[in-house]
Amino acid sequence: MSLLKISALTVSGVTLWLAPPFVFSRKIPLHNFLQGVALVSSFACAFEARRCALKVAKAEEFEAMKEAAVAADVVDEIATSAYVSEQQRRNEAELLIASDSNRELLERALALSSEDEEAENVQLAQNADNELRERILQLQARGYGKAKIILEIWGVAKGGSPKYKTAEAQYKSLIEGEERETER
Amino acid sequence: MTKAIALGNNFLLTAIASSFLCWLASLHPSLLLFVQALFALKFIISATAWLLDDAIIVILGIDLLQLRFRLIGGTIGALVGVGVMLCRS
Repeated sequence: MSLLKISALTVSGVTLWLAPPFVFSRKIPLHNFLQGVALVSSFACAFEARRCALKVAKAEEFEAMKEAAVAADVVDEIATSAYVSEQQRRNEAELLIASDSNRELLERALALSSEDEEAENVQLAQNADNELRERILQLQARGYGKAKIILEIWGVAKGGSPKYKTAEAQYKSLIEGEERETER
Repeated sequence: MTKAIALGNNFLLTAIASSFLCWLASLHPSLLLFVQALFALKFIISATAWLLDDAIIVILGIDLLQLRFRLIGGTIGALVGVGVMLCRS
């Protein structure tokens, strides 16, 4: 509406400025007087159009600023709510950890998981023993003696070294375990 | 858009004002002298403002480009207004 008003005022200002000098004669006093009146009215129209245009421009600027402020507010609100919910979640988690019953539950869960790990370790050790035993049996089948088998598997040559003694003890225990299993 | 219309109306106001002065000048020989003096004054002021632009921009609080735009726009508007009245029947 305002833009229409501005356009109408501008167009009428231009018309009232340009038309009378070329339509009316300056030699006829009434025409000359009308030219003056038209010029004054065209000036008034242009002045009003300028005033309205400046007013609308200012209002548009204000609207743009308002929109920018609203957008900034929304972004701020979202950021705040995200921060608040994160804090709330953290507090809830801390409360859960702090309560005794839950602590017990967590400790129990931890104990259970460590028991599982222990059983797993035993299983792994047994698997390793079985592999060693298998290898010893293979070497025995090839006709290898005890010293050669120890050298092959543990990498220790025969002698009085503590490493050899440890390897020998392990060899013996594996062989004994194998014998026990065959007896069963 | 509305800012451009406002600037256009500024130009139009200058042109219409100078046309009105020309119309006044056509009414009486003494008014013609008065209007000629006014136009001479206007062009002298414009030229002085162009020369003293650095001081004027400080006083008016606008930048140099704006001042030059206003001076050129004002001068062209005045010339167009005078031209319209000189071409009339």
